[in-house]
Amino acid sequence: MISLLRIDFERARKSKTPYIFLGILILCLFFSGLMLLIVLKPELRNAALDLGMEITIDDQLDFSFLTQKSNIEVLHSMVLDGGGLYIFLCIIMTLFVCNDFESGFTKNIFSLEQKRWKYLISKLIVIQVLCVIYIIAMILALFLFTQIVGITFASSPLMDYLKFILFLCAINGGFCAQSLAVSMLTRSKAAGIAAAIIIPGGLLVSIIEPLCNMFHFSIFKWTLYGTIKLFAFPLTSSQLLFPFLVVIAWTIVWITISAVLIQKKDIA
Amino acid sequence: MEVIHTTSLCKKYRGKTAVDHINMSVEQGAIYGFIGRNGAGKSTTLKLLCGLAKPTAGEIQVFGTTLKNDVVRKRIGILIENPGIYPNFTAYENMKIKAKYLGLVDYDVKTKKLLDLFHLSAQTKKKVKQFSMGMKQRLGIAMALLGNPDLLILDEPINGLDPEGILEIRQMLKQFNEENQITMIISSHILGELSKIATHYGIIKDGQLIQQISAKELESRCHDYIHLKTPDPKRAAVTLEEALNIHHYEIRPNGEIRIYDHCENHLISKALLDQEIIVEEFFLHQQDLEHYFLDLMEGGE
Repeated sequence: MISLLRIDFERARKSKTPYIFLGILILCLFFSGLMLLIVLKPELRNAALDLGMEITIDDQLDFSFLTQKSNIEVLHSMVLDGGGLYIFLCIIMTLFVCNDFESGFTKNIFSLEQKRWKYLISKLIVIQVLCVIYIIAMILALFLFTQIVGITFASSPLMDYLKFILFLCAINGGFCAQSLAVSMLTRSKAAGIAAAIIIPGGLLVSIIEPLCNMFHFSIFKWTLYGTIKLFAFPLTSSQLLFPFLVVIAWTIVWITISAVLIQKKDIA
Repeated sequence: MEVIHTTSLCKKYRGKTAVDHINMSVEQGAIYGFIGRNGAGKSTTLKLLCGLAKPTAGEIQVFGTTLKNDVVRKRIGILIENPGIYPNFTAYENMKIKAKYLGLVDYDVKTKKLLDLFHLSAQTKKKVKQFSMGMKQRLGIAMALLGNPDLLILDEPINGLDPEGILEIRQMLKQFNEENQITMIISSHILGELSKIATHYGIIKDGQLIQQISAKELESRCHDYIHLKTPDPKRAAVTLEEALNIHHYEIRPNGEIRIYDHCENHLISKALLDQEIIVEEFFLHQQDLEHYFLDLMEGGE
């Protein structure tokens, strides 16, 4: 297992994709921050209006309530509540796994490793480490941005940061386990990337949910995408419990499916 | 000691039998040439031996134990179909990744030595996707040798190599076999090349192992014969038996008779002419591994 982790971390370190995606997320964060700055600072708002920009909010409104939100709440609403983080990480997971099969390197791995489930666990561990790195990098990027532009948001206790990271990683685990299952089934980058865009992006839920509503029931809160939208502040244990259980249940389902697929199917 | 022993090994895919009750045995130190037509089941059998596919039935014993033993798996080096290499990494990086996976401590020295041996050390900055097929094959073999395996399983290892490359690989494999007593199972279509290196052969047809034979035994079987073609082979055979006391012969499906007993040509032709048996073809034939294999595939009584 340690050997598998070593090679997976080596590949993640040498690959360009994780750095590119992190760069995109940070750029999105800075762009969102810039938009927020324009709304918050009257002089910038007026300059934007003079340039011809349309700001569809009452410019007489007091926006100081925004600065009373915590760092992590602002970060979440800027870049993390749409599913973008999970789309990127699911794409990385797909590329990781499908490149192994496409290149044939899985022959080297599975000729030596009898317990195939270790391969799945190794991939999930690496993707979770990447998730933590991404979240911490974005927290630091937001902090840097606020220091540069001179905005101050409310601070959060350390426990809130830990809950925030833990919960986002849990959601990521669910989505990436799903990507893993799709990759194990299809061994196709195209199928995996399509699934990575459609499912964490909410497209599938947005199609199925209205159909369910026609029959007077809702699946939204039972889905992984629903847990992203149900994520609310302040972060209390009672509020997070149900979404957390949904995430854990889905993670177990997808890991089990992946384990069955990798055990049953021939490697080459 | 037997390195590989299979008992009634079977593999079925959706009702189609790819490997059909194979009983294979490979002795330690042997270079086992695994021969068969395209689609005969060679690659499938080799994948079963490596643990890349699970058998539908039967048993595989490697070094006296099953493939569930991870220690045994580490003693096997493989090259199955195409080399398993990451195209966006260099040769050294690919070797390093595999070495780390094997848990090798001195991987830098070992990697550089193998890359040097396979003439890949000049390609330090080149990504593998820019390699020629021959270079990729050489890298694949180098990676198979990385963990100092006791058993090498190579599926078509000389694919894509030029004649010089084939000679080099052949010499290297022979050297590894002689110096380190590495047992090898090599499948190849290039029978001429295989015959220069193999000590034993396994011949597979339609998923069944129809023959296992040592090189020495094959040599004794690959003897010259007189080729005779006639519209009435049975009558010709009776004539040869009665007139010339020839008993070591074979009647082929297309009216061909192969005479393995030594006899003067003029005596044979006279005996047949005396019985008014028409002879369509008559010549001396020298058999090699290729012809032996082709004959086995076609069958004869």
